[in-house]
Amino acid sequence: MTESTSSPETRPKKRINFWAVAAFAGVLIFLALIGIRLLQSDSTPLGLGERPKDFSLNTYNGDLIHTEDLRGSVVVINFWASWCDTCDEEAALLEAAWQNYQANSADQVIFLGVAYMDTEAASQAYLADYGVTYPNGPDLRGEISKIYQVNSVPETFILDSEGSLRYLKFGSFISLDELTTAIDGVLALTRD
Amino acid sequence: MIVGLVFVSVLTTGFASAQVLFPSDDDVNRVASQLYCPICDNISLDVCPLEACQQWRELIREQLAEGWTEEDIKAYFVAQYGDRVLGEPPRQGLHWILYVLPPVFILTAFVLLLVKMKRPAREQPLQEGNLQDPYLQQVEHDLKNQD
Repeated sequence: MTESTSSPETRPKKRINFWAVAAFAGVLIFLALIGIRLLQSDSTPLGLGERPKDFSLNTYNGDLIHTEDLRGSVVVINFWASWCDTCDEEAALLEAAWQNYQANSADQVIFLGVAYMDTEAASQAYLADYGVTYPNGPDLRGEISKIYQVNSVPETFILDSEGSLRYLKFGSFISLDELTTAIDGVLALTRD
Repeated sequence: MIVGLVFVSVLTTGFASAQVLFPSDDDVNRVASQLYCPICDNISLDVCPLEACQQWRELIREQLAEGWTEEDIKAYFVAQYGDRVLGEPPRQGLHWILYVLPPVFILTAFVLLLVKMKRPAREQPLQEGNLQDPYLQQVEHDLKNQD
């Protein structure tokens, strides 16, 4: 019996297919780009103590408010919409609280209303109906709700004088007492 | 005479800006079907039952009546509510990959297939040295020795 005689010359060569490699690299690049995109759209919810990104609000009155200019004050940010059934329940509470803080501790507490995915006409009518006087504006391109990870309304966030999140509420406040207790709690933190 | 002038004026203004003075539900839905409800998951505005969607359809109706084009309306909705309202990713930035890569992959696969089909598989002549299987080598060897 003879030995197996497959010399290196006769062994079939494994050729690397350029197109296969290119296609594989293309798929890898595609997957990498999707991964980068997913990382960019970070959807981790905001936690207490975190400092959300600053934003600018174009109010319906024509003012432009930058949250970085509000350092030193407690900022109450309320997301609402005219089509939201429970928002109107707290609209009067928010306005009453705003009036109260304006009278007693002006500039210490700032209220901002952000109309979430609403039409301007409906928003303006809503504000007029409920007599809301604190600054309100639309969430253009959903940029502000993206920062605060808002997916439904109403939601309220209270920032301390440093701009860090100290209180958040999903759903509407049920009483003025609940609302003022929340704000006073953050004010007390600021004073300490 | 005045009525005639007003009629001509309205008519020419209408033609100039493609204005639909009284947009029908079909006009509204034609635009609404190209936009997605920003607060729902994958529901286009024309079939969305929410009150908010009703408001948006009314807004589209008003914009059509004011002479806005479909592109104007879509641009307005994107400016107000973001890219999520579009039925397809915007053709800009990284989104281009979604449009470019799939056709490139398909074209590459097609070209590869054509190349493979045109090029006949190279058959290696059977030689003793080519036989890898020891059993076949033995058979080949024995056959040779028989002659």
